[in-house]
Amino acid sequence: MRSSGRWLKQLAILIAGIAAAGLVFTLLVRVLPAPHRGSRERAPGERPRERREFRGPQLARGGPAVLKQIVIIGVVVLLGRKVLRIRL
Amino acid sequence: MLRNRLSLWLDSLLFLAVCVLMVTDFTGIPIHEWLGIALIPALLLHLLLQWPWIATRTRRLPEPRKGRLRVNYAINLLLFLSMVATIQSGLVISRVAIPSFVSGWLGDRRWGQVHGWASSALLLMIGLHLALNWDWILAVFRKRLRLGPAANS
Repeated sequence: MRSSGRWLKQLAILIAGIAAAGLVFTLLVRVLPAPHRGSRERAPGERPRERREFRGPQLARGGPAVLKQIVIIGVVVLLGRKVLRIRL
Repeated sequence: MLRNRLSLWLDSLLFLAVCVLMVTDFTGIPIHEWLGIALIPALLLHLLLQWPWIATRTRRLPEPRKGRLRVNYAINLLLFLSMVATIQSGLVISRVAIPSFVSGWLGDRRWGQVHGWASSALLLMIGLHLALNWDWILAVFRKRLRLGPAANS
């Protein structure tokens, strides 16, 4: 089979796999019960909570937060290597 | 080898993009959504580049004494599923990039919850995926940067 034909076939299999997984998720989400949205009575004089709005990029807060994500993944990698090396 | 070099750059970019995507405060919603959408072709390319691995390992899966392969395969499969769930739920709850995308049909706050759970699972699976492929990653980086023992091979 020509190279382009092989790539197209692989791409078609991938997209079919993604579509199948997506369909299963859709069915699961429709079957699962909706989450209970907790609400409580407001005390007299209590102001309603403001909805959190995203105001766009916040580099000062975002930089450390991205680093935190990298550290979390790093910890999972280290723990994963230890556990998998013991098990395998 | 071109395939290895392309894989290395693509995977590094994917890793950084996922780390940035996990922090919505950093990007704001519009960049978060568009970056997530831009990730789709990059992920397809990543999977196509790794297709020889997928094909050979799928055939070898039923062979006896392939514990490591089975664990690696299961982690990759779960990574794929959590990625599909994250992207799909992200598209459904999109507010800026494609606000009308199927939301009329599937619009449901459950998808927001699915997005949160799926992205947490994704983070865990990426960590395990990296853990299992760590030696390969180090070897390729050393070769590219001409450092350490793999540089001469």
